[in-house]
Amino acid sequence: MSHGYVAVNWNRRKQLYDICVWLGIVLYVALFIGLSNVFYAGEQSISMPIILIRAFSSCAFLMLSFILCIGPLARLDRRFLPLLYNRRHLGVSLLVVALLHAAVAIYWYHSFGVLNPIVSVFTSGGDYRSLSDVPFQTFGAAALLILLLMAATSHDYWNATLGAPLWKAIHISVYFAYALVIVHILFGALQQDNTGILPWMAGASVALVGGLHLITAFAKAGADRQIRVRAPAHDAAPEPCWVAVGDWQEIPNNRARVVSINDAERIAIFRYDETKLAAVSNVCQHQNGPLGEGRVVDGLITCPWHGYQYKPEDGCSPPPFTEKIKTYQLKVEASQVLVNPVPLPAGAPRPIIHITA
Amino acid sequence: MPTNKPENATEQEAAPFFVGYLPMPPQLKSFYWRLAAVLIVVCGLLGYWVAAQQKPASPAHWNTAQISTIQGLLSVRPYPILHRFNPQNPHQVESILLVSPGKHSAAEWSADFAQQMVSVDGYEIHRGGWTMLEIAAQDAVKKITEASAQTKSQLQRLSALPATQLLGEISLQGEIVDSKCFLGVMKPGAGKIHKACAEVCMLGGIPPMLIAKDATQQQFGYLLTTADGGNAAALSAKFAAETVQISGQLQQQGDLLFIAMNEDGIQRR
Ligand code: FES
Repeated sequence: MSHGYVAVNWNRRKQLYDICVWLGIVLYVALFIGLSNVFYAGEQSISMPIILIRAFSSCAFLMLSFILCIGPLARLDRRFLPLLYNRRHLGVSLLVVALLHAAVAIYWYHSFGVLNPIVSVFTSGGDYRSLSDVPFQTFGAAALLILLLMAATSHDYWNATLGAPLWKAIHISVYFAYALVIVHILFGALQQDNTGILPWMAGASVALVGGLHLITAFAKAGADRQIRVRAPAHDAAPEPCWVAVGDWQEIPNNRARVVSINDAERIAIFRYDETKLAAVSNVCQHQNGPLGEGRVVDGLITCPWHGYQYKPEDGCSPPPFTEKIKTYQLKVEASQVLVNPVPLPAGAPRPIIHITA
Repeated sequence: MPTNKPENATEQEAAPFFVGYLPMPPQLKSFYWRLAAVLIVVCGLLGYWVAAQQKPASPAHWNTAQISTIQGLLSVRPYPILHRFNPQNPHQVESILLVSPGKHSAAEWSADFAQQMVSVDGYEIHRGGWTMLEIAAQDAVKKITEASAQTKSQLQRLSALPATQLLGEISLQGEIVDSKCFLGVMKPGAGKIHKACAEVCMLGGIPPMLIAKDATQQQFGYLLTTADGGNAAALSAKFAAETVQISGQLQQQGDLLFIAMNEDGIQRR
């Protein structure tokens, strides 16, 4: 959390994660390069820099597709959450591979000539008005720039400095980068040759990424409907307006029920110590993760994404951390939980419901 | 104390909950070991599979391992070309295109040796019946000063060869490539991905070539010149890698075919 920053908070698990990621990358690239030299030897060999360009580009594309699948996968099956936890390591690794692709392409296709190689990337070739002649390099460069910006701001320091909404906005642009990469492929390699496996690879990636997001959206929309509550409008009346949101005993211990009242910010109602109830905002202050999908661990509400914690009593992170979330008032009548949808300020204490008999 | 918990509570309670800084729950641990193994194997299989799906390059060779020395009569217009008698068949004249290293024409390095017998050190580039020589260094073009009787007679015979033969008007559809990459320096050295490179090459003066196919799909290469037989590299650069219709005068010089393009002789298709 926001207490003292170091470059990377290494732990053994993160190291194992990175080792696996780089093992996968090195294995893919090494096999690609080695086998390209074996399969295409002699007169019909492919130029080595072109093999490298292809190895790095296909590797980066597969990685980007995989990264975009992690979010929906983790929402569909909680076992994938640890992949999400370290996703930024995967993102930085992707940037390295994409940069290698760009570097070899600039070296090979744009250097050794009368133009400055970088100038050549942006000026040579093509006409945006002619479909067969659209320069593809610009789209790749733009995608690379987005990845660069994301990697540069991937650290929690930037997350805290920029604030979760702006940070999220920057990082959601990975979808824009993905679209740019698809256009880069369409006007580049696919226009060069659309008979190989590239159309299949690109098609499968779009289908998988798009499909998983659609499935997740439908699944979660269904889940949302179950907890969406309509309540009569209440203007800041002196009397709180209580909204019934179900039987408290239906909430498993150390878990939450998430409700959205009149489409306002969602509320997570946690049950812990078997008989205690506390309501807080569902939005984690770190990267706006869904707190209500988290748990109470050691008496603290714990976010499922990166484990930020908040005290049920007042929505404050335990010292030395300083994050605060909004809290809500609760009461229980005949085992029905009633919540006051008007939030208290972030970090405001209010009585915890303790059901005795 | 209430006892009526929801039925799935125990199951939900048992579901592992991962927090990055706490030890991994054991069920998740074994899941991740298996997942990591599967993903790494998948990476290997993909590397193999994607590599195997590439297409072989067209047969061509750039011999960077060895410097060859070639002697012949140098002509510089429209492009530096070395003419000699084919060593295997002394009655046949062979024309060897000269280029400099990188994406640069050999015009500068050969300007002083027009119509002279020279000896050039360089790296041979071959594709089909074409031969090109990438000059090894600036001082690798040398005038043959102490001409042997044989050299003198070769010079005489080469100089006596008929100049350009005019073969009539022609209009062909094809792709403009830069001859250096296409003949074997880059494999593949044509098409959309290579377009920017071809442009840089031609802006550097590398001779442009039209690659056209006949009815039997056989490829033919024609060097392109301006209408008055000059260097058309810069003119052709922006049409690289596109399907174009070229019209002009078909000419033959030694074993090379040229098209001296009409004004507006390049049209996009
Ligand atoms: S979003 Fe990162 S810990 Fe909650």
